[in-house]
Amino acid sequence: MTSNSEVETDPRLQVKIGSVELENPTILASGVLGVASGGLISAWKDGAGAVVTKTVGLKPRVGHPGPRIVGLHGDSLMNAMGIPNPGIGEYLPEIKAAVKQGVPVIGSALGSTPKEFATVASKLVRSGVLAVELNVSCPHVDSLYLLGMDPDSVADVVTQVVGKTKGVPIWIKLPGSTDYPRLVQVAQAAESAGVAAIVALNTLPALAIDTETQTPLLGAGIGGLSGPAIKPIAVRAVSELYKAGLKIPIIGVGGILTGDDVIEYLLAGATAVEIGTGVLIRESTIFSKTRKEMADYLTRHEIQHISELTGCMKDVGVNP
Amino acid sequence: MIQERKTKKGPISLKHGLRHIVGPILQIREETPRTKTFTLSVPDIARTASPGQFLMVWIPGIDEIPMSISATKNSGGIVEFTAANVGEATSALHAMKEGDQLGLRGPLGHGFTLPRSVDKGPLLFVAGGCGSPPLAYATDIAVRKGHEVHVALGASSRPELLFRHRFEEKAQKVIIATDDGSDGIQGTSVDAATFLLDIDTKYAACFACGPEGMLFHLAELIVKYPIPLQVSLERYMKCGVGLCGHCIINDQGARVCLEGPVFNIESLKDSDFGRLKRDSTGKHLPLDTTDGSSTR
Repeated sequence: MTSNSEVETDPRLQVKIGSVELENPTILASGVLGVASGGLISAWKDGAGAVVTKTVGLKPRVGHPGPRIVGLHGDSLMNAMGIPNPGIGEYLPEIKAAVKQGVPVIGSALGSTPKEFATVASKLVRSGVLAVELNVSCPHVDSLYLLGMDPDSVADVVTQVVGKTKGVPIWIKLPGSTDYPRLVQVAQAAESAGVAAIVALNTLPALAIDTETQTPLLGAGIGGLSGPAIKPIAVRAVSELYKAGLKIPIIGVGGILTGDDVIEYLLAGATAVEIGTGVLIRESTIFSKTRKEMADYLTRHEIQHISELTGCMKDVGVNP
Repeated sequence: MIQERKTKKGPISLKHGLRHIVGPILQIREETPRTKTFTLSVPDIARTASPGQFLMVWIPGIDEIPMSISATKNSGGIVEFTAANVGEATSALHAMKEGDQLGLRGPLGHGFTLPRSVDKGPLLFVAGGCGSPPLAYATDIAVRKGHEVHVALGASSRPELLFRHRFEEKAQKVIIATDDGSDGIQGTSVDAATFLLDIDTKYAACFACGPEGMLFHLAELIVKYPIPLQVSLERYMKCGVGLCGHCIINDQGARVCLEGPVFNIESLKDSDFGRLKRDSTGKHLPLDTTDGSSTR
């Protein structure tokens, strides 16, 4: 765990995701601010417990044409960036610049084959990341989404990656989906293959059409839904994964705006959370804001340590 | 820690600048051989925009590109932007006809901050190449508020001088510079600015837009006088609202699309300004500083 001079440490907020210790359970999600080291550094200085890089592959990708982002009613968002990235070779200096300043960086990896995933992950590991998150779930890059919904393919990718990453924890980011039994199968397959944490969920596959021009609003034609609209879906996914008895930690992601939202994910079974769209809605000071709100919650409920909340949702049963 | 930026109406919310307003192009005007101005009626944007802010312009089925606002008129909710034909998207834009539909979202980012008082001296506007649109808009507003405006306008040659007549109509002084000497002094907009600075050094503030090499040289020059300088930067933008991080220029996470595109020159210390930019993949590349100064 690296100390952050800009943030006063609160021991009650510290969490462990396997061997990765974080100062608090909020993590900057992949694809947000992370193109440049400055984005990673500034999110950490604001109080993020860790930051995930832009997803990076072996070769450069320009991504989709615009519009790449569009706002919907109710503070939700759709995007189809198309994973623009300069390729791992050109991106490494950004990671190293952040690592050099003490930022806890998680590398997000992409590959067109299991071997390519492993190559990218091993390069990320050598740049000093604390863990590697495998993006097998982008909803507007078809091949990835299909990969992430298939337990055997995911296990294959994880096996190859784990063999090349020298014990550095590997996380897997699940696709946005309401097919909870399938998500559990994928998570279990990934766990058996050796991942250290499950990240749930990526954005949900979605479509928005402009009625004036009768054209899809996003340049890619389709996109991923994020923000408050997907929070109940991702919270349910976290809960189903937790109840399935995984032995590895779950990191919740989807629609988190406040400290209270973080607590909700923890109650459902998460150990930590990632924040993406919230950076837009509550500005890039969202980490310091949620941090204070989490601390206030612990004080108000006289809870010694935030990790005590994981999986503590009261079971009221489910009426048939 | 990044300072939270607020609009006059409060914190920037998701509703702000994320939804396209789609409407027909009312008018297309050719300004120079390479540039056209597009006029639409979007009262919500016309009412809230200020000079230096930009729009994300959606060309349905093609792409979405950032465009500086070049004029607004409250009557009719008129919004104008001026595009040079430089790539695939702007080429598609130039091929459009009056009546065709565009989607606009904005106004985005933070524009020029004009001095409150009009008594501290005239304002110096330095426009190089395609940098004229936000400064022509700023001239309209500044003159309406009672400021005296002097303009240094540069282009490669006489036909490329963008908004020359608009500047000459509103500003008290306009000094022209062209690379080939076909009009005004032979040189760049920075040479024209030097000419103005040397005859009247009591400027209240300087505002500039143009190629980054030109802005960088202006920033070096202005230290001598010294006058507060605001520059409008251009970067590859993917989302336009500060989420993706593609246009971040320093370790404080300053985004050209949100904290910018207009920056006080002091805030650009330890940034990419004048040194580096990113391409469409996010690759960090050296900025060719000779490019701007030699052509504008």
